[in-house]
Amino acid sequence: MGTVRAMNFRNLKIDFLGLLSVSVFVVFVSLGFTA
Amino acid sequence: MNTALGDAAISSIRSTVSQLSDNPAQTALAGAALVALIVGGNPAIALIVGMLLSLSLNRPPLPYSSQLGKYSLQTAIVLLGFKLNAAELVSISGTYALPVAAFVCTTITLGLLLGRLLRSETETNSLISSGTAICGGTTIATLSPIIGARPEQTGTALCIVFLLNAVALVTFPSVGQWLGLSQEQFGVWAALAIHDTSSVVATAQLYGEEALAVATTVKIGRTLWLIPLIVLASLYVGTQQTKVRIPNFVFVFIAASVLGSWLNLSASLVTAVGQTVSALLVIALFFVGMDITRETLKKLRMSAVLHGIALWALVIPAVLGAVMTWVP
Repeated sequence: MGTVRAMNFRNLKIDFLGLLSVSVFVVFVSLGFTA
Repeated sequence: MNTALGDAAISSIRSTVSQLSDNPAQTALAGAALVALIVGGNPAIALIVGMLLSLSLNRPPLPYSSQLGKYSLQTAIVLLGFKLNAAELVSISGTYALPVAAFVCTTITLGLLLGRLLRSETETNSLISSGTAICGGTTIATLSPIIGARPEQTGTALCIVFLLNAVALVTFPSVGQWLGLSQEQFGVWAALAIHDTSSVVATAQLYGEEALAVATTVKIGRTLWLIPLIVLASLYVGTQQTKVRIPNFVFVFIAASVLGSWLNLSASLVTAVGQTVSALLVIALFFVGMDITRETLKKLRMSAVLHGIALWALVIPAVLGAVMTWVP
C-alpha cells in the first residue's frame, strides 16, 4: 500500500450479491434524502 | 470429490473431538459457565467471563469459539429482524441515513489525520480509522487483504477494537442511565459510537427494547458503508481482486423484517423470539470474549493503541453531544 495509484477497475469483482449489496446501500442513502 | 469432502469432514470431527478430550475439565468448566450465563442473561458479564477464561487458561477452552460466536450473533440479528416491522425499519433508516453518512466520513477523515499525527503505520492507521467509522472487526477483516496489511497490523487493530468493545459494553448503559438518555438517544449513540455489531446490539439490549430496535437498524445502516469503502480502497490502493459485498446476514435481516411484518407474528411468538435473541447474544459475547487471548494482547503496538483510544475518545462525546441535541 502506501501510495495512491490510478483507478484499477480490475480489482473489483461484482457478482449478483455484489449488485444486491450496492443496491441496498443506494436505497439506504436515498431514504435519507426522501425522509 | 466426495471422498475429499468426506475426509475433510472426518478430519474436522477428529480435530474437534481431540480438542474436547484434550482437557475435558476445562471444556466442562467453560460449558457450565456458559449455561449459567445464559440463565443470567447478561451479555456484558458473558463477555468478561469469556475473556477471563481465555486469558487464564491461555487458550479458548471450547473449539470453534470464533465461528460459534459469529453464527450466534448473526442468528440473533436475523431473529431481531422478525421483531422489527419493515415500516419501522424504513422509517429509522430514513431518519438516520444522512447522520450515519456524516459520521462515517468525518470519523474516517479524523482517524486518518490522527493516525498520521501519532505516527501510526499507514495500514494500521487505515484499519483503525475505518474500523472505528464503520463496523469494527468486520471492516478490519474486509479491508486488511485489500490494502495488503501484515498479520500483526490486522491483529493489533482487531485487538484494540475488541478491548474497546468490552469497555463500551460495561460502561455505556450506566452512562446512558446517568445522563437520562431516552431509548432512541441511547440506541443511536450505541449504534454510532461502539465499534462492533455484537457489542452494539448487546449494549442496547441492556438498555431496553426500543433502544435495541433503533441501535440494530442504525448499525446495519452503518455497516452498509462497507460498500463504498471496499470500492474506493480496491480502486485506489487495492493489491488484489476483491468482491464487493456486504455481510450476508444483512440481506437475511432485511428479508426477516419484511417476512415478520407480512406474517404479523403473535405476541407470544415475539416474546419467544426476544428470549432466544437474549440467549444467543449471551453465547455470542461469551465467544467474542474468548477471542481475546494472551497472544492477541502481545500483538498490541503502543502507537496503534493510542490512535484507537484517542479516536474513540473524540467520537464518544461528539456523538453523545449530537444525539442529546438532535435526537428526541
